[in-house]
Amino acid sequence: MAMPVPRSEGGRDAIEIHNLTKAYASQDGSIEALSDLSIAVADAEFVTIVGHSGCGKSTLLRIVAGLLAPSSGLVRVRGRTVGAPLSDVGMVFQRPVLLKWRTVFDNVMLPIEMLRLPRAEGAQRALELLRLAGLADFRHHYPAQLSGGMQQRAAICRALVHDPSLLLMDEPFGALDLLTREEMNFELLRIWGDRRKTTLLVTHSISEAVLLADRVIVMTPRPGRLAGVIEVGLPRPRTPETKLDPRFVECVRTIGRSIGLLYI
Amino acid sequence: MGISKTDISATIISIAVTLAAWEILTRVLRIPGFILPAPSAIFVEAVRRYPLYLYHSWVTFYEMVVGFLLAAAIGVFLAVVIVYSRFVRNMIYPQIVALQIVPKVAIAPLLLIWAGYGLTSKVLLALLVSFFPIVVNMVTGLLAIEEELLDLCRILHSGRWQEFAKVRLPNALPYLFSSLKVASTLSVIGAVIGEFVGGNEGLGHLIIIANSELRTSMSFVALFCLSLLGFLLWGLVALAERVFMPWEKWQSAAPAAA
Repeated sequence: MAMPVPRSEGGRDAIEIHNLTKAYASQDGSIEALSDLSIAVADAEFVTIVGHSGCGKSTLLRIVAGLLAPSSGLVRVRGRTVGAPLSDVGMVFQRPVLLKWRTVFDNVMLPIEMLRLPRAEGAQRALELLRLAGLADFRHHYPAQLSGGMQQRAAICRALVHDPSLLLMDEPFGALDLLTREEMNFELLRIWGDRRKTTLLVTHSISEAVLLADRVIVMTPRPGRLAGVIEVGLPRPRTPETKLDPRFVECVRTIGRSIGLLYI
Repeated sequence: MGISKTDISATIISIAVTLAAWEILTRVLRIPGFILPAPSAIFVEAVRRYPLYLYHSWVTFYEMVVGFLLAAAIGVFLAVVIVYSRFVRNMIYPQIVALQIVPKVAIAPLLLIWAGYGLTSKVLLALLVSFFPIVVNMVTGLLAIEEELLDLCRILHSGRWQEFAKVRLPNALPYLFSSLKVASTLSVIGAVIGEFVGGNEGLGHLIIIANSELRTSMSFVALFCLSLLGFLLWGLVALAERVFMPWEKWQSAAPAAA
């Protein structure tokens, strides 16, 4: 049995993952995507998960969101066992998947409509978020008129508009070019700094993982197990200079080693 | 899609050249009018008896449009049912395909027996000829949803109705409209087949009369009217597409750099 990850100081745990295992049926028997994974995420904590492709990171997020049932083990969100899709979750995917027939504003309003929340308040929050994400001037544009980075920012607004307690992000910047990705990291930090949601973000990029997170969870490939947990401990707000901090470099190095990259 | 002046003038020039060559050849080679009338003769025929052509065009257009609209309504309805019920899909999809395989020309005489020589049989044929692409495309469109969007719907507890109305249906619109364009041109064929087989109205009927009397210029005017009607309905669909999918014009254009 894996050691449960020590919870971070103060605050109750927003997400508890206990001995989670997920196996998929396949042609040659069953494939284990996640194996005996235990993680706890504190309230308002930003946790990133890194690992090779196919280490079950996305599977983990889908289980936490209640979109997928685990084979064994359990997930608790704010003390309640997850058994069905959670509306208390904002989800951002690798692709923005905005509705192309809706304007940016109407896209951000989708959760308000679907969850049948009060429209006036929702509209106000949508506008605030769009302003925060620098998209206020583009709210009447269609997604196809925006760049990839702007579309993803709109998707982040959509994930936050119904004020969920959890933000789950599945390689949200994986489809963007490197420069945009850098920019988006700081955009996200700015938005997150304003809202302080408990956030679980999956990424391939070690430096992205360190830059964003309070803690980085490293996973082994196939089946996904816990390879290590790194407390980042860098001060916030993080800036481009953060990347020059020796502690940042040390974190990246430690993670690289635990993931099996020997050259850093 | 932008149409420049050069595009238009190229089209006009090519049509003018074709017509001129046609006119000259019929005169130089002394081709008899009942085999291939000159464009000028066709034009004279059209102008001289325009009320006749106008009336029969109206009849054919009416059959086309009603058949087309019914095909759209039935096609969309069937597609929704097929997508949402496996049972219904297994029941009716094979039959729809079988119906599509049967040549409509071959069942036209039957339809005349069942629905009579009036407009109904023509409307039914226009419907039968044009509804298949609508069903098939609409089914594809309703199913072509990104996995993540369905996840999002589940997180947002959308329920089936909101998922359909807010995600699946609008997502299927581009598929629907491209099939409606195809169907609009097919509906002309359906209406004319019906008029060929029986009846005493419509452009198809005029062509039969013209042929039996060897009045070839009359056939040509009727043919011209037919293609005009097809164009007209197609244009109306294209117009509706622009009105109902204002976002689509941004789709083809590359988005601004990331």
